[in-house]
Amino acid sequence: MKKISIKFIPYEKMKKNMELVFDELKRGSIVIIDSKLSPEEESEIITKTMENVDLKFKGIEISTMDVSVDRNESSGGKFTTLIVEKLRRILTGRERGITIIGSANLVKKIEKTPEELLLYM
Amino acid sequence: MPIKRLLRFFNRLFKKKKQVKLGIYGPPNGGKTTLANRICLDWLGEELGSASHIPHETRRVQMKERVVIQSGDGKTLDLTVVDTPGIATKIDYEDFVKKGLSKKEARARAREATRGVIEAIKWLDNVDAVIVVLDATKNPVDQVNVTILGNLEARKIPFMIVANKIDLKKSNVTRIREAFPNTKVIGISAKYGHNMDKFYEALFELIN
Repeated sequence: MKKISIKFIPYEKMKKNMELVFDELKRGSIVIIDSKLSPEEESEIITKTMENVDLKFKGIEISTMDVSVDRNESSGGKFTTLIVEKLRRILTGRERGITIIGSANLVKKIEKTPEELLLYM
Repeated sequence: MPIKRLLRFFNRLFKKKKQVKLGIYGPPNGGKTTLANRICLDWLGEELGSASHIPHETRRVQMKERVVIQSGDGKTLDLTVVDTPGIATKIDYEDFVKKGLSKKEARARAREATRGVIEAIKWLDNVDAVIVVLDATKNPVDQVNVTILGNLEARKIPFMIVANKIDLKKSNVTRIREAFPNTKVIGISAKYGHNMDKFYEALFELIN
């Protein structure tokens, strides 16, 4: 039976030390971060990935999923929820969502639909 | 980084640029070098670099200066064409072995390719406008494409998408337009020069 570890890394912890992500990926874990990454953070992840690539570690598959209220709740007309969410974004500088990263040795492809992420191993 | 962005903004606002650094970005094997060569051939009569069916053929940023292109109404653009290595999230030397390289060559190519990706990302701070080259036969909803476009938006760099390889039966420009509805998408075949007049027209609109 094959065992796969899914490791949760809080966004703040990842921001302080991005190498944590690569330590986990090299151990064979799939990493989940509790935030959508900004484009700059995504390019930083790619840069770090390239620095980590060697004969054993081939890189990553990464995908982000937006779970912002704009898409899911705005149709419900919850104006106050939207304001609260905008304020949260301004104060935390973060977008609601998740980022999933798997080592390319393990995850061959991640496909994204508006509702789900599909990992092909 | 924010200072660089601010400087670029004021540069655009107050200074009429004489030369425009046009970055050519995208995932590997989309046809970036083929497009760079097409532009250089059309206006300079010489190519910029070598293209190959093996991914990561371009592993260093390469450029051609003084590529002066002209519009139908006589306007000119003085470009420095900057061809960048393909941006990827994974590089496996074994993929190069499968394409016929020896293990030694494949490992060296993989090592150089990783450096190339880093260099391409760093160069985002040095370009004035960008053409993102996507292979029109492939699914455009890919995290690398999203990351490249997101970075261009965040840096406020003008950009457009080229859906390349429209000469191939499997190409689907509409799929790219639907995936990125807020971005100008031009379908071309850089290899055969199809639709290049539309591409140059769009380039003038993008930069002017």
